[in-house]
Amino acid sequence: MFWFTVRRLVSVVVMIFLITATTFALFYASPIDPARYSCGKNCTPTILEGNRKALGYDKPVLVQYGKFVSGLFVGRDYPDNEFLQAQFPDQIVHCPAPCLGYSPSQHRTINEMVAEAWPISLSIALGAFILWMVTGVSGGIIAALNKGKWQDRGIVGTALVGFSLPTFFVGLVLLTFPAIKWGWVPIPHFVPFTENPVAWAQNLILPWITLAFFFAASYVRLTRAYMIETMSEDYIRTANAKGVARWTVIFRHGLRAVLTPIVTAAGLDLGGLLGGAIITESVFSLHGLGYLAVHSVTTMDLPTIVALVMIVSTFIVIANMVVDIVYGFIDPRVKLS
Amino acid sequence: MQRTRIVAVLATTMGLALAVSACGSNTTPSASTSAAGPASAGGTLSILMGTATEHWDPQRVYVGVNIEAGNRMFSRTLTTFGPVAKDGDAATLVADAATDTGTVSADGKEWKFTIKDGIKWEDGKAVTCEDFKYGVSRTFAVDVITGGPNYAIQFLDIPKNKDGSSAYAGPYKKTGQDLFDKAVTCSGTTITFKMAKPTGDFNSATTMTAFGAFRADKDQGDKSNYAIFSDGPYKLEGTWTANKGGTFVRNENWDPKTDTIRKALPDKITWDESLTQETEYERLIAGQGEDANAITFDQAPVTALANVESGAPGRNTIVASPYTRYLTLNYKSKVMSNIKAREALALATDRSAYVAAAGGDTVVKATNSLINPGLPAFPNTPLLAGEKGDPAKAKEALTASGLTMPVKINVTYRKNDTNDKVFSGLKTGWDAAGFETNLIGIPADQYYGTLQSPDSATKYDVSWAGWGADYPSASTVIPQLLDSRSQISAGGPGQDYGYYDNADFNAAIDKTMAITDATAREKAWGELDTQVVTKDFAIVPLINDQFVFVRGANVEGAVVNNTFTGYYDLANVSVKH
Repeated sequence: MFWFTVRRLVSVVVMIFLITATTFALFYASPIDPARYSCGKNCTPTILEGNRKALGYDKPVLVQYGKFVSGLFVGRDYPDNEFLQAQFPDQIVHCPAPCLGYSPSQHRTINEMVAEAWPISLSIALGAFILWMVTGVSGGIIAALNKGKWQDRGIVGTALVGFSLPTFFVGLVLLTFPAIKWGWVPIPHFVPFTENPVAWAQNLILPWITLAFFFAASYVRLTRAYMIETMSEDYIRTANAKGVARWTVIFRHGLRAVLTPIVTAAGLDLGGLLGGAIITESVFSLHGLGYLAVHSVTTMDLPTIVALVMIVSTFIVIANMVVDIVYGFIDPRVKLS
Repeated sequence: MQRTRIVAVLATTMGLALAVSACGSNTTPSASTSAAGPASAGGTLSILMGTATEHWDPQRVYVGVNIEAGNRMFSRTLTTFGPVAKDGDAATLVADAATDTGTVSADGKEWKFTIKDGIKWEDGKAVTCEDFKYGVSRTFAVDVITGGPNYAIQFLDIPKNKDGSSAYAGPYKKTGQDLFDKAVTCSGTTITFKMAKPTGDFNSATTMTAFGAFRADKDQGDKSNYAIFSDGPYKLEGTWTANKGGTFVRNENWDPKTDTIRKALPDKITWDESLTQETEYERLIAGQGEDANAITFDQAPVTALANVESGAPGRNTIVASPYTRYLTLNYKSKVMSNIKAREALALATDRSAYVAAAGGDTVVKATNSLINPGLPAFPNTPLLAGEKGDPAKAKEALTASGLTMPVKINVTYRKNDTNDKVFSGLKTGWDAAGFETNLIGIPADQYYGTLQSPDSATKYDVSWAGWGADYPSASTVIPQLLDSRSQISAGGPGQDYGYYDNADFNAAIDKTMAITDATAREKAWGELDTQVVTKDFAIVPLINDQFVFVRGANVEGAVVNNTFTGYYDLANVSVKH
C-alpha cells in the first residue's frame, strides 16, 4: 500500500509538469497575441509592446515557464519588473510559495483567487455528490429489486429524463421559478459553511439538485444493471436458500459486489466536479473554479489557465488514486501492489 | 466601449431583432419612457451587472460603463458632458473640475484649464493642479498602467522614439520627465497642455477619466487598479472585489457647490457584478424586492429580449447605439488591392439582406457612413446603389478590374447564429456580381486578435468590424481606424484591419485635427468619411444598431446619455423609497 501510494504520487507530479508545459506550449503556439486582450480599445503597436512587457510575455517561453516552476517552490513578486521591485516596493505584490501565478486580468494572485473559488466548487461538488449517490444508488437498488414492475419503470424513466435534460436548462428552470419567481429559496449566492451552515445549504440546494438530477440518472442505471446481475449469482441464491435475511442479502452480499464499478465512476465524477461545475456555476452565478476557468479562457489569462489545468488534473489523478486504494477495502480480491 | 463590448452589443441587437420579429411585435426604437422624473434624495440604488469591471484606475478605464460610472461617482474630470432630459437628447460639453471648458491658443496648440476651488479628495485634502498633471503622466507608463486610452501620448508635445513610443516613460521610470514637465505645466490652479499638433477638440478628450486627477502618494501602480480614491460624491466603502463588486457611500468631502453636474441623490449605491447577464435580466424584469431599485449598464441578453416589452413595460429603454458595423477591404490582398474590385464589392453589398437577417429596419438601420449618426460629423453619405445593392453594376466594375472571374474572396466575420445568416445573405449579392465568396466565421473571443495578427495580413480579403467613438467627435473614429502611421507596424494593423495606408489621407487627418472650430472640424471629418467610403472604397459601412436596457420600477431619472457614453447617466438617478 505504501509503495503503491508513493509511486502514484510521483506519477502525479510528473504528469502535472507535463500538463503545465504542454499548456504553456499550446498557449504560445496560438496565433492570438494574449497581450491584446488587456491592451484597451485603441491598441497601437507601441502600446501593445508595453502591455506585453507589463504582462511578462516579452520574455522567452522557457524563461516564463522556469519562473512559473520556481514560483511553486520559492514564491514570486509581481509585477515581474526589476526596476519597480527595486524602486517602488509598495507597488509589488508578493505571492508566497507555492505560488500559482498572478492574474493580469484580475490584478491579484491566483492563490487568492483559488482560495476564494475552491470552497464554492467544493461545496457544490460535495453536496451534489451526496445527493446523487443517495438517490442514484438507492433508486438503482429499488429498480433492480422490482425489475419489470411499475417502480422499476418509473425510476428508470425518471432517470432517462434526468439524463436527457441538460444542466443549463434544469438550472435555469430552478433558478427562474423556485428562486426568482416564487421566492421559496434565496437567489443563490455563496455563504461559507463556517459562517452559517443553514444559509450555506439554502443557497446551494438548487445547484445540488441541478447536478444531482443529471448525475443520479447514470448511477440509477449503473446500480440497477449490476444489481440485477449480482442478484442472479449463485452465491446470492445460496444465501437465500440458507435463509439469510433479505436485507442482509441485498446489502451485505449484493450491494458490496456492485460497489466496485460505482466507486470507480463516483471517483472520476467527483474528481472532475471538484475542478468546477462550469455550467452550473455559470447559471447560478457562483464564482467557483469552473467560473474562473471560463473567465480565464475568454480573457486569455495564461497564468490562471495553467494553474487551473494543474489543479483540475491533480484532482482527477488523486481521485483515481483514492479509488484504487478504496478497491482494496471494498473488494478483498484486489491487492494493491 | 471596448471591442468586447461591441461584441456583446451586436449579439444583443441581433437577438432583439430576432425576438421582435418572432413575436410580431410592433416595437419601434424610440425614446424610452424614462424621462427624468422627480428627484427623490436618499435610498439605495442597486447596480446589477453581468460583466466584470476590468479597471477602476482612472488612467486605465476605457470602457463606456466605467467612464460613465467612474465620472459620476468618484472621478471628476476637467470637462464632461452634462446630463440630458430624455433619452436621445444631445448633451453639452461643460466644465466639471475646471472653471470652464478650457481656452485654446490661436494656433490650437495650447490648452489651459483652471481647477475650481473647493474640490477635495475623500480624505479632505484639496484636489490640485499637480494631481491632474500626475494623473496624465501615468498614461505614459505603458508597461505598468495598461489598457487605458492613449490620447495623452498621441496629443501632447513630447517627442517619440524611433520605434514610435513616447520619449517620456511615465512617473515611475521618469525617463524624459523634463519633456513631460514642459508639455504639461501647472501655474497655481491653472494647468496648461502643449499639443504636438493643433488639436481643436482636446477639451472633449478631457472628459475621459484618463485625464482625471490622481494623487501621487496614493499611487501603487497595478495595485491601484481597484483602489478607488474619490474626489466625487461617492466613495468606496471597504474594498472592491473583482468579479463581485463593492458598495459606494457618500463622500462627506464632496461639496455640491462645486458640482453642477451630479445630483448624487441616492445615499448608497451597491454594485453587484457577480451575476450572469441572464440572471441579471431575469431579476430586473421580475423587479421583485430590492431589484425594484436596480439598474444595469449591461445590454439585455438574447434570452431576455422577448420579455423586455411584456415583462418590463415602461421600464425599458431602446436607444440608438454609438456603434457602426462595417467591412474593411484588405489592401494587402491580391484582389482588394484593386480599386475596381473594391468598388464592385461596395456596389454589390446588399444591406437589406443584413437588415432582414438582423430582424428588420425597426431595430437595425442601413448606413453608408463610418461615422455614427449620433455624432455631429455624420455625413449621411447616400448608399451607392440603394439598400439592395446593384449586382449588375458591380459586375461591370469587377470585369473592369481585369481579375479572372469568378473572383475568389475570403470574407471573415465574428461568428454567431445571426452573423451566419447575415453573411449568407451578403454572399448572395456578392456572388451575383461575380465574386466567389468563401465565408470564414471566427469565434467571438478570438475574432479581433486574429485580425490583428500579422499572420492574418493576407489571409482575408474582407473583414467585418465595429467601432464607436470615445467622445462625440469623429476625431476618435477616423484617426483610430485609418491613420496608418499610428496603426500599422510590423506587429500588426491596430484597428486599420484593411491596411489602408494613404499619405494624403494621413495629411488630411492632421489638417482636420488642427481645426479649432468644432462645426468646421466635424464637417471635415465627414468629408474624409465620404472619401474613404465612396472614392477609395476602403470601407463598406453596413448598419447602425440599438441598445436595450431594463430598470427597476422605483428608479427615477434614468436617462441614456448618448453623447457621453450611451448608457444610463447616474447624474440624475434617484430611487423612490
